Amino acid sequence: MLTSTRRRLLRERLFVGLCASAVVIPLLVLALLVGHVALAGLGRIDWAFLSGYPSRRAATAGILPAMVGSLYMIAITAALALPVGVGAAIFLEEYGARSRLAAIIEVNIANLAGVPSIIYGMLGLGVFVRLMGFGRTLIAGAATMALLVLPVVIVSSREALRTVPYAMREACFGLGATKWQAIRQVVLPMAAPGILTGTILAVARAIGETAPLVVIGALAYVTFLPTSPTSQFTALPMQILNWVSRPQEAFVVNAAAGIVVLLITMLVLNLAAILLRNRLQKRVY
Amino acid sequence: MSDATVRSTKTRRGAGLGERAIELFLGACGVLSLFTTAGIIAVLAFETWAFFREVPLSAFFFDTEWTPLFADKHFGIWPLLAGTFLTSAIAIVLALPAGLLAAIYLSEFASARMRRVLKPALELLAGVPTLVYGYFALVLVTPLLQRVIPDLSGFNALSSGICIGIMIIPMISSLSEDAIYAVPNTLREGAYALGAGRLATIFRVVLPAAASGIAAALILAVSRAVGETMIVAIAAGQQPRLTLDPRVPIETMTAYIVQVSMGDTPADTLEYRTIFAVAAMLFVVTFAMNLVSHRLARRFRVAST
Amino acid sequence: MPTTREREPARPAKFSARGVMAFFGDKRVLHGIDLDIPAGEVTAIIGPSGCGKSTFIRCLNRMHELIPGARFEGTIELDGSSIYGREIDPVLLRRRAGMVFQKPNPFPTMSIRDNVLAGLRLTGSLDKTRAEEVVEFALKSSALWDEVKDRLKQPGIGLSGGQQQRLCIARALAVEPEVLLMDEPCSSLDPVATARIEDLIHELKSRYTIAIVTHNMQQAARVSGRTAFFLQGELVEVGATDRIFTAPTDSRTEDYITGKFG
Repeated sequence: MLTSTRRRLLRERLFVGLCASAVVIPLLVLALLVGHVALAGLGRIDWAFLSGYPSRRAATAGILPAMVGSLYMIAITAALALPVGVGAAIFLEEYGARSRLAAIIEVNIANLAGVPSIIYGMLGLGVFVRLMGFGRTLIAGAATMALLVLPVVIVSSREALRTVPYAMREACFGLGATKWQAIRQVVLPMAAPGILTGTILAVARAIGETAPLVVIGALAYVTFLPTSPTSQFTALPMQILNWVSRPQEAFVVNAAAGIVVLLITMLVLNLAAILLRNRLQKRVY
Repeated sequence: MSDATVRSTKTRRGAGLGERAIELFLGACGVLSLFTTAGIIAVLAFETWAFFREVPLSAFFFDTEWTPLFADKHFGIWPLLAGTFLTSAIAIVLALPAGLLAAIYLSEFASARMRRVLKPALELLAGVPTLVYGYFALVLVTPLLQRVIPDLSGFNALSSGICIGIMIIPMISSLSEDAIYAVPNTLREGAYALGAGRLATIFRVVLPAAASGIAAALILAVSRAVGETMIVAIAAGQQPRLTLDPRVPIETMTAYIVQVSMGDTPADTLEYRTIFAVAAMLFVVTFAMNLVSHRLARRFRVAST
Repeated sequence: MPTTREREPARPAKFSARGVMAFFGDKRVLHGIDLDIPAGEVTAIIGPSGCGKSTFIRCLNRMHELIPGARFEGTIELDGSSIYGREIDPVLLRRRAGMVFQKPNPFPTMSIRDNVLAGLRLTGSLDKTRAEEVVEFALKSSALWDEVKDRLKQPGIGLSGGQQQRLCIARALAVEPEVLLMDEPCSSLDPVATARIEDLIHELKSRYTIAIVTHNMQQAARVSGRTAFFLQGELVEVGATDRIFTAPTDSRTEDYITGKFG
């Protein structure tokens, strides 16, 4: 009577296999995706490609203006999003704890995180490009991206602040420190690794965002380097989109090469975030 | 800290003022997010209002053609809604079972060690820029599918939908896994003690208990699929068409916005305003889904504690 | 050490455990238990927290091994045949030995009625024509019928703690087990609810073999015919409840029941 029902065990094992394949197959697809792009694009990448300007002929086209534009843009994005995001996180975590305003802001941030990025493009177009008169410039793109990454920066900064034990704040208050003194001199330094890591990760994702740039009208064919935040500009995703939309095979190869550069840039930023966190953590604790 | 700060009440008052200013600044940072939402609504509402002064609501909601860029203009939103529905539906049909099975694997079968490795690995899929998925859909997936489906057009809803699906698998799997993992072990034990097998325990006890959390994940994923832009802009075509045939070129709401943005439509024309009307539609749909999702997620958190 | 077992009335053993050792990872929590659970009687297992009494009854229906890293050694027989053999399906074993847990755990998504039928549904052995009969039988057996018969469609988690626990007993009984393993079933209940469960145990003992783990000595004295005393993963003493509580042979048992520790 207690002897096992083979069919049930078999069914269970089949199901476990099915579930495992639902994890493994997407990972294989990811490997296929990366492998396929690398195979198509890696051979195209050389110094001329990295240091060249766009061209009508696929073989001589380069990505320097796009690369510089992207890096310039995300630097401004980070400079805008970091203080505001950390400020909002401190407000929600340390000051607003139970206020009605904080509760509304919290729900709002959760909803903003789910707004499609193309809608942020519409916001940037309406507010930065037209209303504020920035035009199709780096600063308009960076400000749009900053609003896009803000919810992520706020959420990760709050998590970082939450890891600092409350006892640390109490210790400061016991010494006669004000709330801001405690935050500025003890809480923030302890939370800094987490905050910086979260910000870099958020910004690294922004570097691959295309839709908002398309909508605010970042250029796709630029033969100069941006010189100031008010320059017109292009960015890596715009350049890749331009290439991938062309029927000629040679441009599609350029697109693959551009994607490889984009993915490597993102990878480097992610690694930098992890290294930074490890280093800062050692220093603080 | 200097002695003066401790002893003199005057410096304390000065510090109190500074504290207040800082608090105000921090509050302003928080309030900025409210302005972001308000800004989105204002921009969309303003231009959409201007659009509907020229185009009657009935033409928008009851016409079945969308040809604002042609000489014979029609402003029926349905072809764009159909395109969006089609790509999103394909994505969900793929991602829901895959994401749910992956979530079950991670929470019920995988060891803690494997879970720590596999979960972030799966989340990498959501970190790949959607532009890259667009390339993937156009250059690899469509040609592969054409071998099986000979009359598949070079631009189609099918390969876009598949790639969106792959992209949102980790979204469904991670959020569902959180929900499944949060189901108290006492329920599993209760089922096992009754002589239930693993499958019955998972399907009859664990999944129903996690249902609202899983539903929240699903709706958020649908919202993401609906708002997805670059994949469909690159690989689905630019032909607004009222069809549910996944083999032919279609156009989604997002792809239409991209099409107009990349063209040279002058500002403050009716053609230009169409993208705001479409974006308003998109915003309303995704925002409503996000709200429902958060409400479900909150209900799940309350129920499971 | 003289064993007292031979002085007990000779009922056939339902469960017979020999040399039971249980591990969590590298930590051994049971150090070789020899204990019989006689058929048709209530056996109480008492002892201080962490003595391994819960782990022991979880070995009886093989729930112990569900915990990651948990391991079992030794032999346990049910009606004379081993339950730890390679060819034994623990799932089938658990249908013969139902379990009631410390905290009531009715399934939150199911109604009262569906909770009672859960075991049959989950095992795919529900005969639909008999469903109402089973529900009534199980709820009457668990003394819950009169309180819930008019609201069987309402959710099981809407009941009070004590009612929930009786619902869980009904759920276990609906599978028609031969043994009922109760793991501190009253530890989260108030005294009134506890008294009702104890009355219920008295009613059930004629039909089922019952093993109940409790840290409450009075409860053991009230409900059981036999009592086993566990200490630090070892069985110190087992015998008729009356004797254990009046004339324990081991000084540690005496210390425990007189409240010197625990």
